[in-house]
Amino acid sequence: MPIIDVHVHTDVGKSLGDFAEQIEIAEQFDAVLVTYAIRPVRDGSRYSFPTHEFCERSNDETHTLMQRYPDRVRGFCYVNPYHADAAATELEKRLDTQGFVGLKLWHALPCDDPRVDRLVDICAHFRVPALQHTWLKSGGLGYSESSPEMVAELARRHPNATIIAAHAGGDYEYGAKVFRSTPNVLLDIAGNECNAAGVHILVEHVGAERVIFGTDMPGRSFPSQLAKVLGTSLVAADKEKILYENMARVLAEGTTTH
Amino acid sequence: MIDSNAYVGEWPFRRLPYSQPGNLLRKMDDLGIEKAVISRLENVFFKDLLAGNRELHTIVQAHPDRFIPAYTINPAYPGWDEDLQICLEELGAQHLRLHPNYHQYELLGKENLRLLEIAREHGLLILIAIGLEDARHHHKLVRVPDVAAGDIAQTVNAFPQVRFLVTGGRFGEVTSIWRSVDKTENLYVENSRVQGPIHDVAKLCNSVGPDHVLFGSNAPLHYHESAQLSIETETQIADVVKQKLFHDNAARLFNV
Repeated sequence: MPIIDVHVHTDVGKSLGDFAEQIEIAEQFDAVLVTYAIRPVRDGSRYSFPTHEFCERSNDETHTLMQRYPDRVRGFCYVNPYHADAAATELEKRLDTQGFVGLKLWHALPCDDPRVDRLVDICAHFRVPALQHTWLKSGGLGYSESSPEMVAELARRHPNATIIAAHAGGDYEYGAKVFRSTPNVLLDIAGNECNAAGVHILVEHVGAERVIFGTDMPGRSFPSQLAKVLGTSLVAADKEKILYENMARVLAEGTTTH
Repeated sequence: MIDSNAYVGEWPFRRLPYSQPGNLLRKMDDLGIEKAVISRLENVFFKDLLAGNRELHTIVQAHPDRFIPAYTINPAYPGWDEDLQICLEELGAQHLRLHPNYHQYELLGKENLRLLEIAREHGLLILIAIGLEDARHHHKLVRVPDVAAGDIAQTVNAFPQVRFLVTGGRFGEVTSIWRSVDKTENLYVENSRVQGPIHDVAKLCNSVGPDHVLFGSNAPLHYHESAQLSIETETQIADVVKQKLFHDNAARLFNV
């Protein structure tokens, strides 16, 4: 069964060779990696609030990976919404001319900021998804982190856009309830521990059509995240939707517009 | 395969598949897991741990060829030493499980020192549970940080004659303990919560040594497949090493 992993990182400034481990994993598991570079090799104190130049460099490096591994890598464009015009221009350029297939937003600004709306409008125009980091913790949100509720509101403001809620909101039970009534939100299962029943709970509340596979490599291992799906008692057809079909459908929509 | 770290029982915060012996055994059969070391999951929160330990004994007695018991002791609770004697004399305990974070005591506090001395006298294996689930997702009323790696390292250093199996440690925690321990001969780790980075199991074997890493599931809180696939699909370790992780190391440690 082919797999699409919607949540793969590389570090900005690393050599191409450093991505070899991810590619080996992709070959081993017959996976396509949706990739974005967000952290510098040497972590700065505020790397979550990147300069525009850093974002450009990040996207350049992602583009290089896309060109070098066309069968294994798809790129999401990474921007900081704070750089309003420059961020919009960067996103349009990458989507229109370089084959990027989506937008990655981390936590420079929470997604209830109006500057995020403009970027999501661009994604809707190109019919590509916008992946928004969100991770609710029992201790609360991190600095400028978007809550699952903010992501749900973003999706309601943009009913024609496809929004990916990263990490399914962090807490699966919570995310399952928050996103139950937002049909244009897909829930990416990357990064959390392989909790028993976690994916089952998501499917029960939002349906297998809205759950998509991701790993958060290289911080997480591919097998531990794959086990979240393979360990469930879901029927094979639902597992295939999560591992491949749902995201393949989304990527195909974007491709047809180019 | 021998699963070196599992539980039987219910969890207060969500319904778990494979929480009861029948379901767990069927899952083990499906995956080819011959035996599992189990503790009573309710004993994380019970006050009278002897009640949970007696239930565990009954479960194991019904399936002695499949389950190996690790009885839970809370040295911060009154009467723990008498309960331990009952576990040793009536239930035949050879392995003990500790939850210093959930039961809120210091590993090198006065009472646990006594427990560890008893473990040394009886040659007991001590399982120290660093954590059970990602603390970021704990219920707001029950937020329990993982046991500090440094505390475990100090404990291992203080009792070089006692064998320890550290369960539920993440990659960074496990390797941190290993770096801080003077003598590693009696220290073992399992891979249930080692869920990254890429090639985590191979890196763990390189750090800890292939004779000290065991397959462990943390079931029913986690799916078995995470730990199993992490070893099975690892391309950077040889089949003979996988055999050690899946079976031989646990067989030696638990006298199977």
